[in-house]
Amino acid sequence: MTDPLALDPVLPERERTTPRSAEVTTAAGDARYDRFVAHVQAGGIVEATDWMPDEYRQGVLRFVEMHANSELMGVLPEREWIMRAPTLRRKLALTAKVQDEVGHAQLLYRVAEDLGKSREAMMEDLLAGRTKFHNVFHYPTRTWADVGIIAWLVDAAAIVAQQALRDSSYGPYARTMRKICWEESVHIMHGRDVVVTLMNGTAEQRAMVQEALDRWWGPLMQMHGPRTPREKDRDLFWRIKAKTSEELRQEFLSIYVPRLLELGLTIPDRELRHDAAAGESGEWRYQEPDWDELRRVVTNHGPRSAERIAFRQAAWDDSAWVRTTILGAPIAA
Amino acid sequence: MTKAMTKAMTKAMTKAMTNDESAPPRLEPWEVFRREKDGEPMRHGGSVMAPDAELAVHYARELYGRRQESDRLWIVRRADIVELADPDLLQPPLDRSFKKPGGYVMRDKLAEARERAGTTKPRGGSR
Amino acid sequence: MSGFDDIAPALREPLAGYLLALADDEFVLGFSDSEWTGIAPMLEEDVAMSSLAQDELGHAAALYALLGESIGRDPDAIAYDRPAEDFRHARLLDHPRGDWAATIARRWLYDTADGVRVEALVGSSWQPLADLAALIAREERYHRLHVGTWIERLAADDGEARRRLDTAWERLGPDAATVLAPLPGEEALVAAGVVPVASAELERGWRASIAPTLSRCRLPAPPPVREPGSARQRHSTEFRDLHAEFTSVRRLDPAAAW
Repeated sequence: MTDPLALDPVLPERERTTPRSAEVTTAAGDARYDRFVAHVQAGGIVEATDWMPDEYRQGVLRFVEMHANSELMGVLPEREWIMRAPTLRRKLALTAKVQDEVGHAQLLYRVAEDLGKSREAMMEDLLAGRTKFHNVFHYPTRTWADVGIIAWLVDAAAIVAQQALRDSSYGPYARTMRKICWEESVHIMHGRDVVVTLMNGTAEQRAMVQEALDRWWGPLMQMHGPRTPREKDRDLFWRIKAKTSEELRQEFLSIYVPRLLELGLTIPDRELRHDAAAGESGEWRYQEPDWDELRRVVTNHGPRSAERIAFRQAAWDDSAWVRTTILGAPIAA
Repeated sequence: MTKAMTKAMTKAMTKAMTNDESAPPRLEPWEVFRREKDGEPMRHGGSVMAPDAELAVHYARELYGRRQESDRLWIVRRADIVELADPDLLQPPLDRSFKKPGGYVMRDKLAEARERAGTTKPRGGSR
Repeated sequence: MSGFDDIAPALREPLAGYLLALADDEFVLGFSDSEWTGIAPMLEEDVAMSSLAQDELGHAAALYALLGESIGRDPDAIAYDRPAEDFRHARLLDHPRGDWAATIARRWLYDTADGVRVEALVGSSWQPLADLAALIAREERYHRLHVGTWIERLAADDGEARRRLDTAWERLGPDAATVLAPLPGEEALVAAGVVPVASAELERGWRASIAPTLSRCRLPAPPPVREPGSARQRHSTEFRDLHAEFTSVRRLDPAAAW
């Protein structure tokens, strides 16, 4: 999953979030800081009301905020299809799935709020492009097959990351990830069911799936972000996350390439193959993802970026009166 | 009664009913505790933002019960929770092993007592 | 017991029409309100409104299934393979969902009327309908609690929320009672106890039950239905457009499995 630090290598200098090395070194050496580092690196958990170094607090906040933004924006490509779902059961399932994404956004924004940033401030930053959301949600959905592919493969790629995050050092986030993983497993089944049903259907339906996969494979391969060295990743240092981008991508490929091939689908990457001799238990080789495309997309220059941000802005503006009159502004912490 | 008077009275009654001196609603966190089935203890699930208890209950039901995954919920305003996390009170440093089972290791003493009484059990017997 | 076996032949067509009207009401409200998913005023409320919409879709699915079993037709075919003019939902539901105040107003008007209707059906002489009505009635309690608190909050506001509620009420009020407008062939169903209470009596009961809230909220009682004969016909342009959209994937191949 493209967390803020994982995106840094593709972003222009001024947009990066990696803390400057000076910030990092002044803190080290302070006894409380050192105890905190030892605590998290030994597998210790941090709670919302614990003392934590600024870098840790900001690191967790950025990480969680981007995840929350992605759930919120991820709703948009899918919700279009609720109206068009072709059976009663699919309509119910898709509405429930999109509702779950909204629920996940709620869970994640709550974690971020308890770290000191209001929902309003996070919405403003999202709409202004100061914070980002996952690349996959900047693309159009063109057919019903897209609905199946997204629910299956995009959610699968996300869950590979989310399962690893269940052991995050930040307690509220780790617990939220456990709840989310449990709920996401149903989405993946729903997505796979849609795809398999189409593959067992007419020639047109099968062609629809292949065409959707052809469009989504590139963004999926970019989703976890470029390879970065383990030692330089501060989110790994703080155990906010536990796996690198490449580890997540490899895991995704190992599980899902066979499941795609067994349906008779072709994966649009002629270089894709499993090299059993490489690494500990073999490694997937693949065509280098288009990192330029990733940069363009996550800086809100993707095919649907502007439209979706505008849609979110409009929905936010249209419902502002409800928040000011009935729901209210949050009480300052 | 004039329309203005009715309106003013209704406004006053509403304010009184909502027990709130200052009119604008405010959102705050409400913690949700849940259990899956009878007999289990209530466990913390998470929190919801709401302007008052009534909507907090509905939102708790949605976020922690819409899948029939809970058979009971407790919803508590976070500001009403009193927390104790002080290590001096909860983890005082001096030995308190006399308060815990681990402070009563009797294996050697029992072995000695049984030997003296000639009641040493063969290996594999219970203590 | 399934199918219309224990229903007298003369009652089958009116009963099929009755079930279709009920199912269409739930379906149209359900898919209309499900459009709030992802864009409601607050995340927690978004999840709540989506649950309400899903409940209606679930009720519609159960009603289409009961009807489908009875007339030997696939429920999805009943829901999707009809032209817009063959839909039999109440005119109240032809209105677009509008802003939050309009959605709440429409929901409240619908849920209170439907509540009266469903509770009466719990006493139906046709067991499958009585059983389903009992399940639906239990789920509807939460809807009335949630929508009920919203309408009171909007009404109690002394600014924009109140104005929007008033605007919505003016627009929706004249069509509110279409939910309980008498259905063709109803008299025979009432005589047989399949529909325990006639629509006219349900409407009286509904008006009495909502009067205290209307008084508290200073909202005018909905007027009598104009053109009750077409309460469930001649659907709006908005509905026709939605119909075109919600059938668009299915129409690619109605015979295919999706």
